[in-house]
Amino acid sequence: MKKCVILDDDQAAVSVVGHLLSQLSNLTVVATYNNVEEALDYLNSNSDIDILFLDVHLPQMSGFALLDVLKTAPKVIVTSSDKNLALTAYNFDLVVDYLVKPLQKDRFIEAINQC
Amino acid sequence: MNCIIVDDQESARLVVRQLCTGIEDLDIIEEFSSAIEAIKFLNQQTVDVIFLDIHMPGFSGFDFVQTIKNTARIVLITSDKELAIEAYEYESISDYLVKPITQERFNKSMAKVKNTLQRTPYLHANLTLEQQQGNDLYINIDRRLTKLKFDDILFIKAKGDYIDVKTHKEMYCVHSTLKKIKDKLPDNIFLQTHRSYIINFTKIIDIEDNSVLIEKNVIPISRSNRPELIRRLNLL
Repeated sequence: MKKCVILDDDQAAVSVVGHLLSQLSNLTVVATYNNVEEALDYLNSNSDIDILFLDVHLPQMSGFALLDVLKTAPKVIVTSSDKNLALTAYNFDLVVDYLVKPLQKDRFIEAINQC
Repeated sequence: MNCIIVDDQESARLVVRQLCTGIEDLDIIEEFSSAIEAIKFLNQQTVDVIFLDIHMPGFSGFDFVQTIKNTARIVLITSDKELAIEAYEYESISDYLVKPITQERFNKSMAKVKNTLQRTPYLHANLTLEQQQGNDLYINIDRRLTKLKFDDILFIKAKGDYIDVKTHKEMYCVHSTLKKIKDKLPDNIFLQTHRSYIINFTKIIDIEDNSVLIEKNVIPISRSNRPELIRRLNLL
């Protein structure tokens, strides 16, 4: 069972990812966060997280800034409505895929398959 | 790691060559100024890494990625920052480097590629294999998409409109055909032994005249499929 964490300041977006994950077996959502600091605390104290769904435009700091200070190494799937940060995402080894909102189910499964 | 460079500009290829000299165990085996020539080459030969320009006359880098039936990891090298999001659409693209490229960023990219190649050894072990998406297959069980790792599948048996997919722990009955699932499986570890059976041949325990043993299951081998099975074995 792969453990997933969702970080997105928009609760509706969290629900969408959660809903997609609920349709796939072997995956479980262990925590969801709307703010970076709490998510960071959780991730840094739980090294067994397999996949992090990460929005990039977040109120306090960017999703990428979180990756810079993260001490654990989950696979990261970026979920964003902003296409322009894909280039930046390539600089982070943890990022395995970059999904543009609105999320498409087929594309979502492709991303999961890479984790 | 073996690599090739595909870029219509000589100066750009030179830059990649120089960056490569900084990497231990990375050998440039060929360079191409034309995408078509590179495709012909890749039909004959397997490589680990392809350094690829996006904008080439007559053929974009993305067309190239879609055309090749090779399992190499692709590193895009370009001055165009705008296409990174498109690059994420292709699983085989490992990195997207924008010129000018520092040696540090290039080294990081190569570490990532190496890592990916090590994680999926069978992906680059077989040159005739079609590009596979990932290492697993989702099957629809009671409206849930259940993930099966290729490596966990022992064999598949056709049963009318259904197929039975046997793993170590479970037997899944799925509404599909043997032909459909065959197209989704990497043909370097799966092999059809009989009209009704596909086996994961890394799981074979022993082989008799007309059957193979996989765990405790005896799977028939038909006369027409036997030569291919024997050919694949590392026989003393």
